[in-house]
Amino acid sequence: MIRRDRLERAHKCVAGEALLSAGQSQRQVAGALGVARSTWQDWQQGVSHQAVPVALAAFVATPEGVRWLQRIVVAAQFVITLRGGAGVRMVCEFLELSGLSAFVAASYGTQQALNVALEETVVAVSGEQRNTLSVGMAPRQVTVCEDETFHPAICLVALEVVSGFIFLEQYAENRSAATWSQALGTALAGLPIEVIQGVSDEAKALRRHIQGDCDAHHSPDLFHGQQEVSKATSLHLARQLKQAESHVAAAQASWEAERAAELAYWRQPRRPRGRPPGFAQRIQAAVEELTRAEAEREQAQTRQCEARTLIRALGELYSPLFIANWPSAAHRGSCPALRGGLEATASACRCRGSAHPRARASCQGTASDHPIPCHRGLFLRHGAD
Amino acid sequence: MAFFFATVQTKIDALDLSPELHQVVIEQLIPAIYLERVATRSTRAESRHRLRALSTSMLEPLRQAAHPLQQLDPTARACIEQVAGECADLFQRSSSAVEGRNGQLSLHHHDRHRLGDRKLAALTAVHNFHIRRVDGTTAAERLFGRTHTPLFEQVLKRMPLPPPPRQRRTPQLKRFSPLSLAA
Repeated sequence: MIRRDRLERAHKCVAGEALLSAGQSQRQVAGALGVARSTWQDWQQGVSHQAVPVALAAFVATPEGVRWLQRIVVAAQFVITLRGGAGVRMVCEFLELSGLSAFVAASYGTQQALNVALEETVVAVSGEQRNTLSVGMAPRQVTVCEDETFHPAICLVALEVVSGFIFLEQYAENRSAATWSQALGTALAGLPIEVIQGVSDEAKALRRHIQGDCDAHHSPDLFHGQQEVSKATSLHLARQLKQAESHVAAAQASWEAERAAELAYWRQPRRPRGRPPGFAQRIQAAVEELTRAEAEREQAQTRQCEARTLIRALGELYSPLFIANWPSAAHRGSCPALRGGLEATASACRCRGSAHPRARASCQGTASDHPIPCHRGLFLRHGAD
Repeated sequence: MAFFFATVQTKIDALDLSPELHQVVIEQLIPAIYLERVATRSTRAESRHRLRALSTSMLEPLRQAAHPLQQLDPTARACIEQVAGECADLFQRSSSAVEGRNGQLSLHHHDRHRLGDRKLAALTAVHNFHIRRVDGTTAAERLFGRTHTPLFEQVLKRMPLPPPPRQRRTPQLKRFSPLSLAA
């Protein structure tokens, strides 16, 4: 059996219609087209579907219509499965609801096969384009940004920071430095690209891969630094606040109990009420305790807000625009602003003169781990504040 | 930041500029470009406008006809501009790009329950060669510095035609009636 694709059939239909209108018989037309007469008759019947407009059915039978249909189906596959993250069943549903299922097979199996073809074609085309673009490309020094994600299999992801081009996105057995280096080396093969800097969290394998294997500079990631400080301080500060709130609640209850006792006393009949206890002093003491507890709560809230603000401010401090002085020769030293910010965060966690050891260690550790070398002249006068 | 400042210094030294121009590039041009980059990435309109205004105010004197930078020939000026741009791009402190991509992949994974190698490669290709930023460029165009034919058009040319639906015969509904008499 000869299988003719839709485009060939559409071309033959258009040619056959022309012959028919020229006065030839069906037998002659079929002979001229090289098909059986019954086949030609079958083609002429076209799509018989109640929901389909006749004009649309006639258009879809033309070569232009077939190409349009192909574009619609491929676009649906592309957008729904590759951009939208939905599956093949959504494509089938789209074809059914749009009425295109009158012209295109909308079963799962058919669309799944098309989806496989689409993914293979996308990968093949992108590979060819990558090779084409890399020819004659000027050598470039780039900064890569690397991290792992888990699905739960380990997926290594590395992209160029400025352009956002993904060099590497693949599953791996492990996330050791050697695996990273091997995978990135394969991904960059054939490209005149040199990795001079890597941005990542402080994972040992990533640091070793960037600094050791790639011989590049490892740029510490701001977010993870902030997260470390936040992790170290937020729990302690929240606990302080919770404790202060419980003190306030207890003081409030004590004050209300004293007031209730006084009211209860004065509601008693005069005899045998006896001599009244020292309600005024008791209530005064309860009010003082409540005031003290509320002040303590306010301080805890202030400390918490201050710590949040300071952690957020680290983002502005860790920038070349805030370099305000520099130790002359060696181009190495510490940025006083950043160090000050971290120390302020540590002191914000202090409660009555004692900081939580983990919070203090984290803030001080971050300050010493990230020395901020400065350079005279660069960005000195242009703080963004 | 030692790396950043050292690399900037090396790159600017390689331009072999006069001391005056050297200072201008380091103190004004690179910070202005850096601020412009930060402003573009900023999500809040207020900070975006503030940074952009600051950047413009720093660039304004450099655009005056009498400025030494304007006395250079256009090729040299373009070269300085390009190197300054590269220097501004050198300072990177955020892994948000890759974290965002991880989030995208998680969404895909959540929806499909598993991501095969082929699917993952296709998603990477779509990110690199199809998705365009506001300026209309793909990631590949930004990296390679050249335009490429749209991915979808290339794919469309190679994709098989969608198969027609099967021809359904008129269905003869057979109702199940357990008590009907045998014919």
